[in-house]
Amino acid sequence: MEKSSSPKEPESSPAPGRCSPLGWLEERLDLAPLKEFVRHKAVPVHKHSHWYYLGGMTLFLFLVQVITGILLLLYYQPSESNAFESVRFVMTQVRFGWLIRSIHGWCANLVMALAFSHMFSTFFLKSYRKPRELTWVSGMLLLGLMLGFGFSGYLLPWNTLSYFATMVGTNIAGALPGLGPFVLRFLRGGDSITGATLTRFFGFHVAILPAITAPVLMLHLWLIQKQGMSLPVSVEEKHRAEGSKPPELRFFPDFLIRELMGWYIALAVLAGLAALFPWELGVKADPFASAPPGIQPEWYFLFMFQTLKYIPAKILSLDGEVLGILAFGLGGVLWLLVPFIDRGPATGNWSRRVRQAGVFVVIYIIVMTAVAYVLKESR
Amino acid sequence: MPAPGQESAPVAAAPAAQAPGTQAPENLTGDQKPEEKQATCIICHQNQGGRLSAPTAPFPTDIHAERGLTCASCHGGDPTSMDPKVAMSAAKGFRGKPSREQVPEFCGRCHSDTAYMHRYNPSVQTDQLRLYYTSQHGKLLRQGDRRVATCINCHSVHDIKLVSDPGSPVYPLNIPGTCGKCHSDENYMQGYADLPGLTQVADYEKSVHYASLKEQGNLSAPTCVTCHSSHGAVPPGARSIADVCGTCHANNRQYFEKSAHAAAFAEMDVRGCVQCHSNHDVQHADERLLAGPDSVCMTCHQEGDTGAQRAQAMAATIRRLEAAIIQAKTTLDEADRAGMDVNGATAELAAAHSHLVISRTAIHSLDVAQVDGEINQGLPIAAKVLQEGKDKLAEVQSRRKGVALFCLLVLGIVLSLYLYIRQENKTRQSSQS
Repeated sequence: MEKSSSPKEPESSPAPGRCSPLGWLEERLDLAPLKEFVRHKAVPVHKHSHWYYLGGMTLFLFLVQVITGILLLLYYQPSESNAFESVRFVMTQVRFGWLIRSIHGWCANLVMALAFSHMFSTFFLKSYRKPRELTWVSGMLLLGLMLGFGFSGYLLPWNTLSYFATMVGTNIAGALPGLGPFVLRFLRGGDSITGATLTRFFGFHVAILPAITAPVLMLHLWLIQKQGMSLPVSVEEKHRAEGSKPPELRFFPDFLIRELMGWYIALAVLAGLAALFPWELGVKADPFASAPPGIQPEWYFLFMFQTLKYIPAKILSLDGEVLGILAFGLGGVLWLLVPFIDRGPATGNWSRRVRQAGVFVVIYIIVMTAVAYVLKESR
Repeated sequence: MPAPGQESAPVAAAPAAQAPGTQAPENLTGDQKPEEKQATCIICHQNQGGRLSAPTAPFPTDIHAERGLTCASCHGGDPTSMDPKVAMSAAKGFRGKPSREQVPEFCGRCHSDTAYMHRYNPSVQTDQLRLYYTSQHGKLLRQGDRRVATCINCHSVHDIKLVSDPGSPVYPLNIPGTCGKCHSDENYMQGYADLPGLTQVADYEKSVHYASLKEQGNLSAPTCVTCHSSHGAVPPGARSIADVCGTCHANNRQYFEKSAHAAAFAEMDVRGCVQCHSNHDVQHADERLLAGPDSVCMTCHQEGDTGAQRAQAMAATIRRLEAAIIQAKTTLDEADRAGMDVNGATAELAAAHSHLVISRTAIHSLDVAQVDGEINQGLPIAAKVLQEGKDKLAEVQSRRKGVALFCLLVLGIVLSLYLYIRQENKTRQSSQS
């Protein structure tokens, strides 16, 4: 019984060619199914297939964030009195600390830009349609988690900008009807932004969010492997009409080599940005100082921030800001549920309207973000 | 025991001469709340219109009202009665509106009562009334001049604010305007021929003191009252100017008093600091006042005399340190813009700047060696900081070169991958064909 339960007979002589580490592993783990999967995994080739690279690029930059974040963690001290000084220490005293911190700062923004691009490309290619609804939902959850990483990480250097931007951001969360005061106190660890908020945000950033992200990311990747790459509607219909299959590219090594090119370019862009435009540390936060003029959150929150500014204080005796927050919340929920809303034929009227709504959302985000930047510059 | 204000001020006819127990304003007694007591005065006066109703609107924002005092606290009378004859009867202690001559004592009734005032603020001054009668304003009021400033001209009336309130006319930022209301008014100031002119406030607003107050928001910067005092306002005499300026510029005064200028200025009856720096229009003082077209030394000294030579020597050495500091600062700024941390070096440079400031102070000693001593301490610091700045810029360059090399390496890898993919495609196409 004992002998039959082990994958391989220990006393059996090693097969020729199994002296390599892979052979050693295969002898114990039976990697044949995995190798078979890799051998047969293919990516369809068509005029839109370049969009497939965005997901892998986002994953790569996220891994860069994880690695640089762990390195920063070796020196960072999450307390009101030491946070700013420890980041300064990293930037001035630690060998290549300036590079690691700058890459972490820039990469956080690139990750968000790529995650948004990946999400919109998936939306417009309608890759969320059956049977990939769960892939879309897990991706949206990942995007939300990325936003959470951005929001919680922004406060950690404890400089003036991050302090007041966090104050503005948590104030907005606190304006939620009903739950607002609880959310505000939960995020801040009290009524105002103090060392307790910093410790809490640090906990979110390095423990809670990674703990949630890891399984969601695993699920997202597993679903993609399980279901394969989605074909755009037009390509799928064309091949269905012709009764043919689209040409394919082997994932390993052909697609991976192409993906690797993108990763290398992303790495070079990151290094260039970090060296030419180092991520500034700014001035240490002073809770007793008045907020600097024109304080703004990070660019990926700007469209919401700018919109809330334009909403009148009162709309039919209701608080304008609260209505704005509720509208964004509702918009987010609808966006999350797009695969269940857009269930008709991909070429139908309803599907076209969903697509038009997506175009409107993209234009709206770009315009409001640009307006916020232009107004800040003119100030 | 009389309050301090009563010892020297001859205000026997005023309520302040009363025993402390009776001179205190009406305290809040009984069950009636202050707002109820006040309400009877305000209810009637609001309906009177004109000047009789004017005080009712701003009074709720007055510091006295905020602290619980009522109309009756100052004006007396019985606010519990709705009958004007009772409420404003002399028998009920009604004092009415004080005449202009009575205003100082009217306010001093409480403000000179230390025991009473300390209930509200233990560190408050209570000698304003005594000081007022030592001022030019107080003296002229005693002589029957009804146009001079009394308490209400500077502090306003019925909407009085704390000095620390930005809305107060005596808040530091508002003081020049408050004094200038009268002192810059040509018509109002007619008859006061002994005053130097009407341009004091306009001149002051061009000064380095005003710039510090207004532009930098430095509320401790000198205003009119810093040099002239507030309640005891007098123009400083020629002999006391060095002491007035020396209150803040203590080192300058010490150097000046030990210098040859002190005796010479006294002998010539020349006003100390003002002679070189002006009084209200005090400008930023640097080595331009020593040598060059704006030199104030050359207004008395002749070209080539000992004084002129010393002035030129001191100016030259100070300019050397200033130039070194500017060069170091420019280099640090450049490194800062390139993303380097320059906080430590900037702090070091502040020490060099301190020597520059002290050297500019030391010129009042007229001792070239003393100025040189400061400069020689500042120059090595500036040179060290300059080198630090250059090192940081060099590091920026080396970082950029490193990144450029890395990018070249990445470009090479990407190119290799591209060529590999192309080759693979060709091989695949040929095998398919």
